[in-house]
Amino acid sequence: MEILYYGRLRDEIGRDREEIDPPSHVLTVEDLVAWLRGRGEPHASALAEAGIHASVSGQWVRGKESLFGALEVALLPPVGVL
Amino acid sequence: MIDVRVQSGDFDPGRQLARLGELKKAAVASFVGRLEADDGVRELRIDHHAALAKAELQRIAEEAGQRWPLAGIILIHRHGPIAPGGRAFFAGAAAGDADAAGEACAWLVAQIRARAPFWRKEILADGSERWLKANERQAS
Repeated sequence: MEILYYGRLRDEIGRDREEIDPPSHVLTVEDLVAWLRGRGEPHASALAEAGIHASVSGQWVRGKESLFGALEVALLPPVGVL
Repeated sequence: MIDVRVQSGDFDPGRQLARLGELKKAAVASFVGRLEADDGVRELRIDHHAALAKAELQRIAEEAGQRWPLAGIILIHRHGPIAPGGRAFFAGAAAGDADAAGEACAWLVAQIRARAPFWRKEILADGSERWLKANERQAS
């Protein structure tokens, strides 16, 4: 699975994308964010803020929604910042 | 008619109003969102998720079309570097009813602010950078 980072996440994690291989218990957006945070810094701090969203194929995927079959997941900071 | 654009370049609000005027409806309501910034801010950069931004703006426009009898909707949102005070987005609606156009335009602006996946970075005069957090400041 490829993860794309946007906004401040890109700066704080220090890259705009990375290839990951999450274990089988990572099924939802919440699972993915928790698993990434558990890998330590810089992900732990960067993804600590509430309201991290995800998108797959141009559609929002909310916290408890499944990432089943997703090959590319965009992680997005909260919106409403203009 | 729905026209949604996500672009780096500036736009001409007068040209967009003229396009809505070509629909020959009784009312055209529009709003231009600009990026207000503190004095110490040299430049603003708007990051975005291209596919999601276009899709979300399209969804917002379609929802407005379901709520009000609109003849036309134009949404434009910029990304990339923008000078402080520069134009960030345009929302316009044409309708046969003035209240519908006005209410729809206000609703479009609120939805863009709340839902559109754009993020704002400020570059200060000393070269340092900071990302704005949600609802810290909004386009005026």
